[in-house]
This record gives sequence, structure tokens and C-alpha cells, in this order.
Amino acid sequence: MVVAMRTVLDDHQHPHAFPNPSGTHERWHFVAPPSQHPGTGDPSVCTCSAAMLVDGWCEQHSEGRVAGLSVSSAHLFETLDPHGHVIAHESVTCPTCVSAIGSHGYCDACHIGWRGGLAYMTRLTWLLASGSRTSPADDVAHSPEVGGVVGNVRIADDAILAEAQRAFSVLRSAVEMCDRCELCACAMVYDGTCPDCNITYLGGRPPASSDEAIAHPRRK
Amino acid sequence: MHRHLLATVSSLALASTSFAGSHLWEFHEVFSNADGTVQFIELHILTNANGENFVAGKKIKSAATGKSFTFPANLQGPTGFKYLLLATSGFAALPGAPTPDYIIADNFFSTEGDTLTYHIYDTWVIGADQVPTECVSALNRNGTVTTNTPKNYPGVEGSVDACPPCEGDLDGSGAVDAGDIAMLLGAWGTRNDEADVTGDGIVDAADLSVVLGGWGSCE
Repeated sequence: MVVAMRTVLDDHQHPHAFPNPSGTHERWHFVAPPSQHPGTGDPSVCTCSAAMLVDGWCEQHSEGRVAGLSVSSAHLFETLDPHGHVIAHESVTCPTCVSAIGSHGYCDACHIGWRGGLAYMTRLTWLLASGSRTSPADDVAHSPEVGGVVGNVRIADDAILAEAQRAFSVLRSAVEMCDRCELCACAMVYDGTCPDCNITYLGGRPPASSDEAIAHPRRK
Repeated sequence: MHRHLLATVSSLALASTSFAGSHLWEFHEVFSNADGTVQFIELHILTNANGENFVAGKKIKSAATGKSFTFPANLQGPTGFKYLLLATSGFAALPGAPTPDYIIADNFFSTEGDTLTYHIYDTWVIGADQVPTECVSALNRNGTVTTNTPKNYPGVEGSVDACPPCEGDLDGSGAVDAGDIAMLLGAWGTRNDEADVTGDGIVDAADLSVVLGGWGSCE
């Protein structure tokens, strides 16, 4: 498969551009797809531009993109899992997950979000899945009609937008954390425990109290 | 030519979508004998999630011993409801043991209390004395203790006895010694089942050879 990119041109004389109803012209580019998993792509091809569009990984430059943000840690990119997982719904036994599958909700017990039938392993990627891709050329100002943006993802619902912005802020911190401890960075976005530092994270930071940790246990 | 990007690019097709990862593997069962030479760690996927192949580079780690194992490569084939078996070479040599998917070092984890981690995806805190070491029982993730049921990635399940009977200890004293020799000589030439170590129907030189070969403590 390929990733198709539409470029809108204001040069009406461009011989290969197709007119569209707005009077501008556009041209379609078909570019090599990025990989979804570090280590599985073609290192001879740069897929950065497509990775920006589909939250992919460029093998050549060892860099992934999540909502447009550069993520150069393969472990962190895999943890974020921006594309979701396929899990046969009939095999899911957690009642909260079963309910969440139908409502595109999030299971706090399993820390799995469901949207469009797919399971998302981090809260951020579940929230981002509710949005649509935008670009820096779009009007990014928040408005009640179109919502706001998180990175390069437009989210219409204000409540989801606010939560996604918080989660995206955690991701930014996690990217910075990678220089010090890559697994801590992963645990920050996953609400997990770093096996090297033995630090458990909740919402991007260690729980303020044991009560807070107990209130949000992982199902496992 | 003047070209200006007025509006965004848009993607029509998501390339080679696999919707996969390795997040859903979790610890399922652990087993150890008393000296840690026979151990296994079993992981499992509880749902029909068939894309949990990407384990390469992920670690299984014991906090108590500091030992770790890194998966060398991704898994092949569908992973839904599958198991992964990591075990010591001592386990692999036992009758009834399914072939481990990966070999781990002896005493990989402590039976005196430990925290096992699989990457950042799963953590199992095991209390002191939770892991039985009487050679047959295993600790399950739900805290129950049952007869061990190791299962490997191809789906072969088995069960082991990590303390096989001490061959030659005819009198059950915990050692192969003069008492066993005396018992064997007393039954020489007969069909005495207890002294017929080889089970060939007669107590003879073959049985004496087994007793002498196992001379010493059964420990």
C-alpha cells in the first residue's frame, strides 16, 4: 500500500494539477508508507513525511511521529501504539471493556481505550483516535465549531480536547525523559512501572500518595 | 514555478496496517524447585489478540536476583490465547516438560519473594514463600497453587516432577548407602519388587550396579 498526499497549488498553470471546485489546483503524491513498528520498515527509504500523517515510524531516520511530535525512542513509540490493537471482541471478558467497546470508552481497570473496534494501550492514543488529522497550514485556533488541536490532530469535543492536551503534555515530558531513562519514559505514558528504576507512574508522574496508586490499579 | 501549500495533505490509505504490539503478554504461572535449578516462567495472552508479536528487545526481569532475559526476535504467527515458556535447562531435561521457547539461567527468580517485570507492560509482585518448592506445584497469577501446567508457544502442555525418585534408595532413607546394599543382597535372586530397581523381574547384578552408581545422598 501507499500513503496518498494531496497538495493544493495556487499555480493554475501547473501542467499536472487537477482543478477542484474551489478554483485551486491540487496534485496527488503517492509516497512510501512508514512502518508501524520500529525494525520492520525499509531503512533505504525515508518515510518521514508519511509518518507525520499517519503516526508512523521512519526506519531510515529512526524517528516516529505521534500527533506530529517527534519520538525517536523505539520503545516509547511502541508503547504509545498509535494505531491500536485488534482484539477479537468476543474474547474480551472484562465487563468494563465489553461496555467500552460499544461506547468507544476507556477501561480504567485495564487501562485500555476502545474506539472504532480497536484497543488503544495508552490514554493519549485513545484520545487522539477521536480526532482528525490537520496540518500547520490549517487554522489552528480553537473555535466552538471545529474544536482545537493537539499536535496535528484536530479534536472537536472540548472535554476530550482538554484531556488530550494534558496527555500530550505528558508525552512531551516523556520524550525529554528518554535521555535519562527510556523505560521511565514508556512508563509515564503507559501508567506503568519502570523495571530499572522501580518507579510507578500515573498520569505521567509517580502517584502523590499510596491511596492514589491504589485507586488506579492495573487489572493485572 | 511557484508552488504554495495552501491546505494540508491528507492521507487516503494507511499503509501496511497491522494493529499490533506486544502489550498484552502477561505473567501466568511460575514454578521452581528448592535449589532453583528447575524453574519456569509462563506468559499468556488472555484474549484473542493475534498481533502481539513484537517482543524483540523486551525484557523479563527479576528484581530480587537482578537477572534478566531479553527476547531476541519477534514472534511468528498469530498470538491470540498463546503461551510463552521460559525455563531453565534443568526443567527442559525433565520427563514431561514441553520444550521451552527460551532458556533462562538457573535461579532466575527468587522463591523468597520477588518482583517480576515484563518490559513496562506487566509487573508481578510475588510474596515470600508464595512459590511452592515441593517439586510439583506451581504458583498461578491469581494466587492459587496447583499442579504445574507449563505450556509453550506451539501449544504443547506438560507437567513435571522436579524431584524424581532417588534411584537406589531402596529403604527410603534419603541416601543410597550400606542399608540399601544389605536390602538388595537379602533379596538377591528373587523377584522382590522393592529391590528390583531395573524392573527386569529379578534382583541381580544390574540392580547392584544402579545402587552403586547412585551411592551417596539423594539431595
